Order: sequence, then C-alpha cells, then structure tokens
Amino acid sequence: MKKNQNSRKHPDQVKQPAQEASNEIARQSEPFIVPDGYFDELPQRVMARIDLKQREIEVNPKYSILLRRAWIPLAVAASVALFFFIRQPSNLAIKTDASDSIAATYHSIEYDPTYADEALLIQEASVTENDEAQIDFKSMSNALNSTDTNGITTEEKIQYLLDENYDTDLITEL
Amino acid sequence: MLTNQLTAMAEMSDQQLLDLLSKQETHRYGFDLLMRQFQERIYRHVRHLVIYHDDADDIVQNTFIKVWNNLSSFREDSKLYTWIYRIATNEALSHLKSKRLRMFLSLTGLESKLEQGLFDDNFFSGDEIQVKLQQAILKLPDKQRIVFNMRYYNELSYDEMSDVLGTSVGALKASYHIAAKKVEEFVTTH
Repeated sequence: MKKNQNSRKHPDQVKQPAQEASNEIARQSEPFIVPDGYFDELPQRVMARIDLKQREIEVNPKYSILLRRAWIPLAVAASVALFFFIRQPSNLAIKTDASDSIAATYHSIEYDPTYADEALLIQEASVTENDEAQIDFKSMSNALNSTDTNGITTEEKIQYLLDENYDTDLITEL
Repeated sequence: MLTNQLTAMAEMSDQQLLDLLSKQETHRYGFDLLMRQFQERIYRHVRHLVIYHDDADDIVQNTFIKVWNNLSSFREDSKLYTWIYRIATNEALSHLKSKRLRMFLSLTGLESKLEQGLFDDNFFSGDEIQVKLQQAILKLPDKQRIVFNMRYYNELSYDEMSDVLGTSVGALKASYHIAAKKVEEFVTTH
C-alpha cells in the first residue's frame, strides 16, 4: 500500500533542503487536523513551562526542601557529636601530646602501688615543667628522709644521690 | 502560516543550531529555532501513535523539555533530529504503556479507545479509506506501528530508523514488510 505515487519521493532521495516540500506532502495526506496556530504557539508554551520549572527550583530547590526536613536530625546529630567531643577525658590529650618520658612518669605514678600517698599523686600529676627540678628533689628528699626506708644505709643513700646526678649544692641549702 | 515561513526560511544545519545552543547569549534563541524546525515532524509522528491531539500535545511538550534539559549530554554521533525523534518515541511509548495499565481493568482495551478517537476526536478529517488505514495501523503491535508510521508517514530512511530505534536495518525492513502486509490485508477485507 502506497501513498499518492505522483507526489511521493523515495525516502532516500529526500534531501535536507527539500524537507519543507516533504512536510507539505505529508500534510496533504494527513488525516489528523491540528488546531489553528498550534505550531506558532508551541515554542512559547514550552519555554514558559521551562521557565516556570526553573523559577520553582530557584525558589524552592529540592535540596533546600531536604535540608528543611533534615535540619532537626542533623542538629541533634551535631549536638551529640559536639557533646562527646567536649567530654573527651583530658588524659587522652595528655597521652597523645606528652613526651615518652612524661607519659612514662605519669603511668608509673598512676599505677605504681608503692605510692600510697594520694595527695602526692595529685600534686605530681598537676606539676609543670618548671617544677621538674623540685619534684626530683622532693622525690629524692622523700626517699632520703622516709622513715620507711626498710633498712637503707647511709652509704646506699649517698650512692643513690650520685646515681641520680643531683645537684648536691641544692641539697646542702635545703 | 508563520511557522511554515520560519521553517522554510530557517532550515538550519545541526552544526548551526548547536553553535547557537552552545553560547549563553544565544541559547534560548537557538532552542526556539530548534523547536520551530522540528516540532511539526515530531508532533505528527507522536499524533499517529496516540491519536488524540491533547495527548500528542503533552508528549511533544515533554519531549522538548527533555531536549532542553539534556542538550549538554547530546552526543554528536547522531543527527539532532534522530535524537529528538528517539526521545519523542520513548515518551509516546511510555504514555501508551501507562494508558494501557490504567485501562487494564476497563472493559475496552487501549486499541479500542484509540480507535474511538478516530471518530470522536474533532481533529480527525480522514475519509473512509483513511479511517480504515488508521484502524489497520492501530491493530499492529506498538513497535511495529512505529516502524510503519516512520516509514510510511515520516519517510525516514532505514538507517535513520535504525538510529532512532536501535534496531538493525534488516530487522526494520522485515518488520515494515510484515506490517504493510497486515495493513493491506485489513483494508482489503474490511
């Protein structure tokens, strides 16, 4: 079955410049009527829909809708995260930042069962670097003057001082 | 009509259109020209598939909106027209599919509903032969109907049809041959 043979050209022979002629032929055999002015108005109608959609996105973008719906759980999550961050124990900071010697000292104070004096533990834990000489002196002094020396002789005490390389002038003054 | 004049005057090549579309200051103007150049052919292709003018109007508008939104992804390995044609075909098939689903529980099928449109629609002026021809075409499966319409009404070459439908030329020729046979048989026996 073919359309009007006289006016129909073979599809392979239809060239771009003759497309309008082809359109005219198609229109002549078209049973479907198009409303008047339809094709004149169609581009404007399409652009109007595109512009409307664009304005909707600008005024009420999808991401802002999502953000409005999600802000409460996001705020809660952020608060919880902040809470746990603030509540991080200070020893962690010390443990991550401290030098090996200070960390080792801290641990020895913390876990050495021979240190029964809680007050001393607290005092030494809060000391600064400037007090380091005095701590050493105090430890040494305590060791020397402690009544609980378990029979340490004087020679042993002197040897202790020499081994620790303490400034004996300081000792003399005190 | 204004559109016919514009179409005749402003038949631009793909490259010319793409050049206009690629620049911010001429993007809208280029798109307007694109629509005016292709709208009639796209509309007629869709109208043959869905019969009703209102449905065809919706599909054509949706097609060009999709073209606007996806221009940046257009690969210049096919012609603009075949690309737009493909979008329109998919839109029309989606429309028919959803209409068929909506009518699943009704007493009349989609084909009957479309056939009814040939008589009820104020925008159908075909004579008795045209009515029979359209009835015969509506009896074809959707894709075979597309192939037949593209070849018979839109006069696309098999290569262009292959580009649009993603089907081999041989399969398209076979499909058209079978469709033409069915249409001829229906028209001569009814």
